[in-house]
Amino acid sequence: MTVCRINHLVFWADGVVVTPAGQAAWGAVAPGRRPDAKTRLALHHLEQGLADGTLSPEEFCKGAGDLAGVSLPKGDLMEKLPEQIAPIPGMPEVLEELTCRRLALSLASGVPRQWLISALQRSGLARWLPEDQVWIAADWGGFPPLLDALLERGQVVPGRSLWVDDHSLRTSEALRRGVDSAVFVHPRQFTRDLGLWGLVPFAGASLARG
Amino acid sequence: MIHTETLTLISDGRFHAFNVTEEVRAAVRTAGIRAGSALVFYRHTTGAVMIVEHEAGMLLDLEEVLEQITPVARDYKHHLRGVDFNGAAHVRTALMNVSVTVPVLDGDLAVGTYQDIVVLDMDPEPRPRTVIVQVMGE
Repeated sequence: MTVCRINHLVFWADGVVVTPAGQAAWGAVAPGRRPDAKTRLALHHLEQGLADGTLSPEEFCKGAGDLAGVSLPKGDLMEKLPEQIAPIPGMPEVLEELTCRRLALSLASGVPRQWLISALQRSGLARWLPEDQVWIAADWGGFPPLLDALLERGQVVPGRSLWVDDHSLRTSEALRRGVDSAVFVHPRQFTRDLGLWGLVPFAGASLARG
Repeated sequence: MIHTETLTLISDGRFHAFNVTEEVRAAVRTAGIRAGSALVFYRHTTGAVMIVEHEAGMLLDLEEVLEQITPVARDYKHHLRGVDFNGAAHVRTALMNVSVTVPVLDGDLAVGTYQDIVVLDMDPEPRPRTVIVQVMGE
Protein backbone atom coordinates (compact mmCIF):
# COMPACT_ATOMS: atom_id res chain seq x y z
CA MET A 1 0.00 0.00 0.00
CA THR A 2 1.35 3.39 -0.98
CA VAL A 3 1.85 5.87 1.84
CA CYS A 4 0.51 9.02 0.31
CA ARG A 5 2.21 12.37 0.85
CA ILE A 6 -0.26 14.26 -1.36
CA ASN A 7 -2.85 16.29 0.56
CA HIS A 8 -3.95 18.79 -2.06
CA LEU A 9 -5.18 18.42 -5.65
CA VAL A 10 -5.24 21.27 -8.14
CA PHE A 11 -7.47 20.64 -11.14
CA TRP A 12 -7.15 22.45 -14.42
CA ALA A 13 -10.86 23.17 -14.70
CA ASP A 14 -11.40 23.36 -18.44
CA GLY A 15 -11.92 19.88 -19.87
CA VAL A 16 -11.29 18.14 -16.53
CA VAL A 17 -13.96 19.51 -14.20
CA VAL A 18 -16.11 21.58 -16.55
CA THR A 19 -16.74 22.10 -20.26
CA PRO A 20 -13.86 23.95 -21.96
CA ALA A 21 -14.59 27.52 -23.08
CA GLY A 22 -14.27 26.77 -26.80
CA GLN A 23 -16.80 23.96 -26.60
CA ALA A 24 -19.12 26.10 -24.48
CA ALA A 25 -18.86 28.99 -26.92
CA TRP A 26 -19.59 26.75 -29.88
CA GLY A 27 -22.56 25.26 -28.05
CA ALA A 28 -23.90 28.79 -27.57
CA VAL A 29 -23.30 30.12 -31.11
CA ALA A 30 -23.93 26.99 -33.16
CA PRO A 31 -26.09 24.57 -31.18
CA GLY A 32 -26.34 21.17 -32.83
CA ARG A 33 -23.60 21.96 -35.36
CA ARG A 34 -20.35 20.00 -35.29
CA PRO A 35 -17.22 22.15 -35.79
CA ASP A 36 -14.79 21.00 -38.49
CA ALA A 37 -11.07 20.58 -37.73
CA LYS A 38 -10.18 24.11 -38.85
CA THR A 39 -12.86 25.58 -36.61
CA ARG A 40 -11.79 23.42 -33.68
CA LEU A 41 -8.21 24.66 -34.08
CA ALA A 42 -9.43 28.27 -34.24
CA LEU A 43 -11.56 27.75 -31.12
CA HIS A 44 -8.53 26.26 -29.40
CA HIS A 45 -6.49 29.36 -30.27
CA LEU A 46 -9.28 31.57 -28.92
CA GLU A 47 -9.24 29.54 -25.69
CA GLN A 48 -5.50 30.04 -25.39
CA GLY A 49 -5.87 33.78 -25.95
CA LEU A 50 -8.50 33.91 -23.22
CA ALA A 51 -6.31 31.88 -20.86
CA ASP A 52 -3.19 33.97 -21.30
CA GLY A 53 -5.09 37.24 -21.15
CA THR A 54 -4.30 38.41 -24.70
CA LEU A 55 -8.00 38.19 -25.59
CA SER A 56 -10.73 39.83 -23.53
CA PRO A 57 -13.91 37.84 -22.84
CA GLU A 58 -15.69 40.13 -25.34
CA GLU A 59 -13.06 39.46 -28.03
CA PHE A 60 -13.29 35.73 -27.35
CA CYS A 61 -17.06 35.81 -27.77
CA LYS A 62 -16.84 37.86 -30.95
CA GLY A 63 -14.24 35.43 -32.33
CA ALA A 64 -16.47 32.45 -31.61
CA GLY A 65 -19.44 34.18 -33.21
CA ASP A 66 -17.36 35.01 -36.30
CA LEU A 67 -16.28 31.37 -36.63
CA ALA A 68 -19.89 30.25 -36.60
CA GLY A 69 -20.88 33.02 -39.01
CA VAL A 70 -23.25 34.34 -36.38
CA SER A 71 -23.62 37.99 -35.55
CA LEU A 72 -25.03 38.22 -32.06
CA PRO A 73 -26.31 41.32 -30.30
CA LYS A 74 -23.57 42.89 -28.18
CA GLY A 75 -23.28 41.06 -24.87
CA ASP A 76 -25.63 38.27 -25.88
CA LEU A 77 -23.00 35.53 -26.03
CA MET A 78 -21.38 36.88 -22.86
CA GLU A 79 -24.64 35.97 -21.14
CA LYS A 80 -25.30 32.69 -22.94
CA LEU A 81 -21.82 31.21 -22.79
CA PRO A 82 -21.50 30.60 -19.02
CA GLU A 83 -24.75 28.61 -19.17
CA GLN A 84 -22.96 26.17 -21.50
CA ILE A 85 -20.22 25.49 -18.94
CA ALA A 86 -21.33 22.27 -17.24
CA PRO A 87 -19.62 19.64 -15.04
CA ILE A 88 -17.77 16.82 -16.80
CA PRO A 89 -19.95 13.73 -16.14
CA GLY A 90 -18.54 11.64 -13.29
CA MET A 91 -16.44 14.42 -11.79
CA PRO A 92 -18.84 15.50 -9.02
CA GLU A 93 -18.61 11.96 -7.62
CA VAL A 94 -14.80 12.09 -7.78
CA LEU A 95 -14.73 15.48 -6.02
CA GLU A 96 -17.08 14.19 -3.34
CA GLU A 97 -14.88 11.14 -2.74
CA LEU A 98 -11.72 13.25 -2.49
CA THR A 99 -13.39 15.70 -0.10
CA CYS A 100 -14.54 12.82 2.11
CA ARG A 101 -10.89 11.75 2.26
CA ARG A 102 -10.02 15.24 3.56
CA LEU A 103 -7.98 16.23 0.56
CA ALA A 104 -7.87 19.96 -0.20
CA LEU A 105 -9.14 20.81 -3.69
CA SER A 106 -8.38 23.84 -5.85
CA LEU A 107 -9.16 24.89 -9.38
CA ALA A 108 -7.08 26.65 -12.02
CA SER A 109 -8.72 27.83 -15.21
CA GLY A 110 -8.31 29.61 -18.49
CA VAL A 111 -11.79 31.15 -18.44
CA PRO A 112 -12.81 34.45 -16.83
CA ARG A 113 -13.52 34.24 -13.10
CA GLN A 114 -17.16 35.33 -13.36
CA TRP A 115 -17.95 32.62 -15.95
CA LEU A 116 -16.36 29.89 -13.87
CA ILE A 117 -17.81 31.00 -10.54
CA SER A 118 -21.28 31.22 -12.04
CA ALA A 119 -20.89 27.70 -13.52
CA LEU A 120 -19.63 26.29 -10.21
CA GLN A 121 -22.51 27.83 -8.29
CA ARG A 122 -25.17 26.84 -10.81
CA SER A 123 -23.96 23.25 -11.06
CA GLY A 124 -23.35 22.73 -7.34
CA LEU A 125 -19.60 22.19 -7.85
CA ALA A 126 -18.95 25.19 -5.58
CA ARG A 127 -19.71 22.84 -2.68
CA TRP A 128 -16.31 21.20 -3.25
CA LEU A 129 -14.54 24.09 -4.96
CA PRO A 130 -15.07 27.34 -3.06
CA GLU A 131 -14.38 30.66 -4.73
CA ASP A 132 -11.22 31.35 -2.71
CA GLN A 133 -9.70 28.16 -4.15
CA VAL A 134 -10.23 29.23 -7.76
CA TRP A 135 -7.26 30.69 -9.65
CA ILE A 136 -7.55 32.27 -13.07
CA ALA A 137 -4.65 31.98 -15.51
CA ALA A 138 -5.38 35.27 -17.29
CA ASP A 139 -4.84 37.15 -14.01
CA TRP A 140 -1.20 36.06 -14.19
CA GLY A 141 -0.61 36.15 -17.95
CA GLY A 142 -1.25 32.49 -18.71
CA PHE A 143 -0.51 29.03 -17.38
CA PRO A 144 3.22 28.88 -16.63
CA PRO A 145 3.16 32.28 -14.86
CA LEU A 146 0.09 31.17 -12.86
CA LEU A 147 1.85 28.03 -11.67
CA ASP A 148 4.98 30.01 -10.81
CA ALA A 149 2.89 32.47 -8.79
CA LEU A 150 1.10 29.67 -6.93
CA LEU A 151 4.43 28.06 -6.10
CA GLU A 152 5.89 31.35 -4.91
CA ARG A 153 2.86 32.04 -2.71
CA GLY A 154 2.91 28.53 -1.26
CA GLN A 155 -0.54 27.72 -2.66
CA VAL A 156 0.96 24.83 -4.61
CA VAL A 157 3.59 22.88 -2.66
CA PRO A 158 5.95 20.41 -4.35
CA GLY A 159 5.64 17.02 -2.71
CA ARG A 160 2.18 17.86 -1.30
CA SER A 161 0.16 19.12 -4.27
CA LEU A 162 -0.91 17.08 -7.28
CA TRP A 163 -1.58 18.99 -10.51
CA VAL A 164 -4.36 17.29 -12.50
CA ASP A 165 -4.67 18.30 -16.14
CA ASP A 166 -5.83 16.99 -19.52
CA HIS A 167 -3.00 18.70 -21.42
CA SER A 168 0.36 16.94 -21.47
CA LEU A 169 2.30 20.17 -22.04
CA ARG A 170 0.96 21.59 -18.76
CA THR A 171 1.60 18.38 -16.78
CA SER A 172 5.18 18.38 -18.09
CA GLU A 173 5.62 22.03 -17.05
CA ALA A 174 4.34 21.17 -13.57
CA LEU A 175 6.73 18.21 -13.29
CA ARG A 176 9.66 20.35 -14.43
CA ARG A 177 8.89 22.63 -11.48
CA GLY A 178 8.87 19.67 -9.08
CA VAL A 179 5.07 19.47 -8.81
CA ASP A 180 3.59 15.98 -9.03
CA SER A 181 1.19 15.72 -11.91
CA ALA A 182 -1.49 13.43 -13.27
CA VAL A 183 -2.84 13.32 -16.80
CA PHE A 184 -6.62 13.36 -16.92
CA VAL A 185 -8.43 11.53 -19.73
CA HIS A 186 -11.79 10.65 -18.18
CA PRO A 187 -13.08 10.11 -14.63
CA ARG A 188 -12.80 6.28 -14.78
CA GLN A 189 -9.14 6.36 -15.78
CA PHE A 190 -8.54 9.16 -13.28
CA THR A 191 -10.01 7.11 -10.43
CA ARG A 192 -7.64 4.29 -11.39
CA ASP A 193 -4.72 6.72 -11.25
CA LEU A 194 -5.85 8.12 -7.90
CA GLY A 195 -5.66 4.56 -6.60
CA LEU A 196 -2.08 4.29 -7.82
CA TRP A 197 -1.28 7.53 -5.98
CA GLY A 198 -2.78 5.98 -2.84
CA LEU A 199 -5.46 8.68 -2.67
CA VAL A 200 -8.47 6.36 -2.97
CA PRO A 201 -8.85 2.61 -2.38
CA PHE A 202 -7.24 0.89 -5.32
CA ALA A 203 -9.76 -1.33 -7.09
CA GLY A 204 -7.13 -2.70 -9.47
CA ALA A 205 -4.59 -3.63 -6.79
CA SER A 206 -4.91 -7.34 -7.43
CA LEU A 207 -4.43 -6.98 -11.17
CA ALA A 208 -1.10 -7.76 -12.72
CA ARG A 209 0.96 -4.72 -13.70
CA GLY A 210 3.50 -4.16 -16.41
CA MET B 1 -15.88 -6.68 -41.98
CA ILE B 2 -13.69 -3.59 -42.21
CA HIS B 3 -14.68 -0.40 -40.43
CA THR B 4 -12.64 2.82 -40.75
CA GLU B 5 -12.81 6.03 -38.74
CA THR B 6 -10.73 9.18 -38.85
CA LEU B 7 -9.84 11.05 -35.66
CA THR B 8 -8.81 14.70 -35.83
CA LEU B 9 -6.69 15.82 -32.91
CA ILE B 10 -6.23 19.54 -32.21
CA SER B 11 -2.59 19.58 -31.29
CA ASP B 12 -0.33 22.21 -29.77
CA GLY B 13 2.65 20.24 -31.08
CA ARG B 14 6.05 20.14 -29.31
CA PHE B 15 5.24 17.00 -27.32
CA HIS B 16 1.47 17.02 -27.09
CA ALA B 17 0.18 13.57 -26.19
CA PHE B 18 -3.36 12.26 -26.73
CA ASN B 19 -4.81 9.15 -25.16
CA VAL B 20 -7.08 7.74 -27.89
CA THR B 21 -7.86 4.39 -26.22
CA GLU B 22 -11.53 5.19 -25.67
CA GLU B 23 -11.98 6.48 -29.23
CA VAL B 24 -10.48 3.25 -30.62
CA ARG B 25 -12.63 1.21 -28.24
CA ALA B 26 -15.70 3.08 -29.53
CA ALA B 27 -14.68 2.30 -33.12
CA VAL B 28 -14.51 -1.40 -32.24
CA ARG B 29 -18.00 -1.21 -30.75
CA THR B 30 -19.31 0.58 -33.85
CA ALA B 31 -17.73 -2.09 -36.08
CA GLY B 32 -19.60 -4.71 -34.08
CA ILE B 33 -16.88 -7.36 -34.45
CA ARG B 34 -16.18 -9.99 -31.79
CA ALA B 35 -12.67 -10.99 -32.89
CA GLY B 36 -10.07 -9.31 -35.07
CA SER B 37 -7.80 -6.33 -34.73
CA ALA B 38 -7.74 -2.55 -34.61
CA LEU B 39 -5.08 -0.62 -36.48
CA VAL B 40 -4.25 2.90 -35.29
CA PHE B 41 -2.24 4.88 -37.84
CA TYR B 42 -0.77 8.37 -37.47
CA ARG B 43 -0.93 10.06 -40.84
CA HIS B 44 2.06 12.41 -40.46
CA THR B 45 5.85 12.31 -40.32
CA THR B 46 6.44 14.20 -37.08
CA GLY B 47 4.67 12.05 -34.51
CA ALA B 48 4.15 8.55 -33.25
CA VAL B 49 1.62 6.07 -31.89
CA MET B 50 2.58 4.11 -28.80
CA ILE B 51 1.14 1.66 -26.35
CA VAL B 52 2.27 2.88 -22.96
CA GLU B 53 1.01 3.71 -19.50
CA HIS B 54 -0.35 7.20 -20.11
CA GLU B 55 1.22 8.91 -17.15
CA ALA B 56 2.62 12.42 -16.81
CA GLY B 57 6.01 11.32 -15.47
CA MET B 58 6.49 8.74 -18.21
CA LEU B 59 5.74 11.33 -20.89
CA LEU B 60 8.31 13.74 -19.49
CA ASP B 61 10.85 10.91 -19.13
CA LEU B 62 10.30 9.98 -22.77
CA GLU B 63 10.68 13.60 -23.86
CA GLU B 64 13.94 13.90 -21.92
CA VAL B 65 15.34 10.64 -23.33
CA LEU B 66 14.44 11.69 -26.88
CA GLU B 67 16.01 15.08 -26.26
CA GLN B 68 19.28 13.32 -25.39
CA ILE B 69 19.19 11.23 -28.57
CA THR B 70 17.74 13.81 -30.93
CA PRO B 71 18.07 17.32 -29.44
CA VAL B 72 15.63 19.85 -30.88
CA ALA B 73 18.42 22.44 -31.21
CA ARG B 74 20.73 20.20 -33.27
CA ASP B 75 21.82 21.33 -36.75
CA TYR B 76 19.65 19.00 -38.84
CA LYS B 77 20.38 18.68 -42.56
CA HIS B 78 16.62 18.66 -43.05
CA HIS B 79 16.67 22.37 -42.17
CA LEU B 80 18.97 23.25 -45.09
CA ARG B 81 15.99 23.55 -47.43
CA GLY B 82 14.69 26.38 -45.28
CA VAL B 83 11.15 25.02 -45.59
CA ASP B 84 10.65 23.98 -41.99
CA PHE B 85 12.73 23.35 -38.90
CA ASN B 86 11.32 20.16 -37.45
CA GLY B 87 14.28 17.84 -38.08
CA ALA B 88 14.20 16.47 -34.54
CA ALA B 89 10.54 15.48 -34.93
CA HIS B 90 11.24 13.70 -38.24
CA VAL B 91 14.17 11.74 -36.82
CA ARG B 92 12.19 10.80 -33.70
CA THR B 93 9.33 9.56 -35.86
CA ALA B 94 11.74 7.40 -37.87
CA LEU B 95 12.91 5.83 -34.61
CA MET B 96 9.39 5.24 -33.31
CA ASN B 97 6.17 3.79 -34.72
CA VAL B 98 3.45 5.56 -36.65
CA SER B 99 1.00 2.73 -36.11
CA VAL B 100 0.00 0.06 -33.62
CA THR B 101 -2.26 -2.94 -33.98
CA VAL B 102 -4.31 -4.12 -31.03
CA PRO B 103 -6.11 -7.47 -30.94
CA VAL B 104 -9.86 -7.46 -30.44
CA LEU B 105 -11.26 -10.25 -28.28
CA ASP B 106 -14.87 -10.65 -27.20
CA GLY B 107 -15.77 -7.38 -28.89
CA ASP B 108 -13.28 -5.25 -26.97
CA LEU B 109 -9.66 -4.15 -27.17
CA ALA B 110 -7.46 -6.80 -25.58
CA VAL B 111 -5.22 -4.26 -23.84
CA GLY B 112 -3.71 -4.71 -20.38
CA THR B 113 -4.84 -2.65 -17.39
CA TYR B 114 -2.12 -0.05 -17.89
CA GLN B 115 -1.86 -0.15 -21.65
CA ASP B 116 -3.13 3.01 -23.29
CA ILE B 117 -2.99 3.93 -26.96
CA VAL B 118 -1.22 7.27 -27.03
CA VAL B 119 -0.63 9.52 -30.04
CA LEU B 120 2.31 11.87 -29.72
CA ASP B 121 2.73 14.99 -31.84
CA MET B 122 6.35 16.16 -31.85
CA ASP B 123 6.07 18.84 -34.53
CA PRO B 124 6.95 22.33 -33.28
CA GLU B 125 3.77 23.81 -34.82
CA PRO B 126 0.20 23.56 -33.53
CA ARG B 127 -2.23 22.13 -36.09
CA PRO B 128 -4.94 19.49 -36.52
CA ARG B 129 -3.53 15.96 -36.73
CA THR B 130 -5.15 12.97 -38.38
CA VAL B 131 -5.29 9.45 -37.01
CA ILE B 132 -6.90 6.61 -38.94
CA VAL B 133 -8.50 3.80 -36.99
CA GLN B 134 -9.26 0.69 -39.02
CA VAL B 135 -11.05 -2.20 -37.36
CA MET B 136 -11.00 -5.59 -39.09
CA GLY B 137 -12.61 -8.82 -38.00
CA GLU B 138 -15.80 -10.76 -37.71
